[in-house]
Amino acid sequence: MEHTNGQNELRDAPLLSKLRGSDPFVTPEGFFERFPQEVQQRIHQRERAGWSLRPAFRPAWVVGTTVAALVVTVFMVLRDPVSPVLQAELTEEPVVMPDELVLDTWNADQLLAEIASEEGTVTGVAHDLDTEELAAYIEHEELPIDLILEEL
Amino acid sequence: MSELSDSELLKLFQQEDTRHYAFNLLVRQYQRRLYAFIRRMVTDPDEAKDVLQNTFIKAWNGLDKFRSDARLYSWLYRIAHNECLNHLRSLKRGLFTSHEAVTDKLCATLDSSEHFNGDAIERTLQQALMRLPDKQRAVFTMKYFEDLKYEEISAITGTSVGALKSSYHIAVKKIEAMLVDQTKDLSDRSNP
Repeated sequence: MEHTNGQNELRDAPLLSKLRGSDPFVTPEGFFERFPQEVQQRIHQRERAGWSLRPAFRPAWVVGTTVAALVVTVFMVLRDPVSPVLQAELTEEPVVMPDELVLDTWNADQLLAEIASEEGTVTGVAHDLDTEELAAYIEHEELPIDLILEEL
Repeated sequence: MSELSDSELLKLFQQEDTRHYAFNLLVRQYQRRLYAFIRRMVTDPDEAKDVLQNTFIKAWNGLDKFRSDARLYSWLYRIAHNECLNHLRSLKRGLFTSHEAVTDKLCATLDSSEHFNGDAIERTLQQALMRLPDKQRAVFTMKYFEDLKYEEISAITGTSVGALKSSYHIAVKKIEAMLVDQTKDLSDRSNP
């Protein structure tokens, strides 16, 4: 397999360049001989079972567990007295969100500018991407804010 | 066994009496490449097998609607990619499951010689991969190990080429840094 397509990106990564082509994972013996038949068996089983999601066939315990989990989740949310979202719901007054919670509405350029303005905030590997490329990366990964800061 | 072209496989699949035969050929033709990708994403061999099975079952269900203007391999790869992400998401869904716990679980397979026979530097590479965000790991795997073009990866992931290049560039830097550290550690230990 030709690697010319990726060689440019690896010119500054000599160790990665050397490891290319290695496959150290051990495949169980006979795996690929058995696998096609196993897949076909599963398909036959599903066809015979007439795969159905009708509520009548859903076990009662699944429904019960789901309801219980929902109740617990709602209870845990309502218990938190300092949640600004809950406060807004209860008082119907506009709530001023703390600065750290407003970040979700920022676009990538604002975030990068904020990070660049704070000394010592940028950690991890230095990058030489321009703003557009970095913004594209942030959008692609859909990372939570704390992970973005760590990434940058 | 010589491989059939996409159109030959699809033609056989569309006929009732050769459907299962065609599907069997499809599985045999693509199972190794897809397994290699899935294995690098989820590491555990049993989980990789489950994900691979789910991939082909979805392919069976969707092959009738497959548009022959796309490549069959890209389509299968896309299903495998989505199944991997779904699987990894399900690992993180537990109430008391932290991101680190999931990463540790993924790396645990690398400590078993039954499942992994690479040297220390290859282990470091795989461990570094496990620490990448899932989508970034998928992009890195497709580019670095499979040498797919960015346009192909874009068709598989539904992400723009620009974002893919950024993602890969950052992943390469991160992993190279970890490999350099590991090499330095090994060198310090052998020359105290």
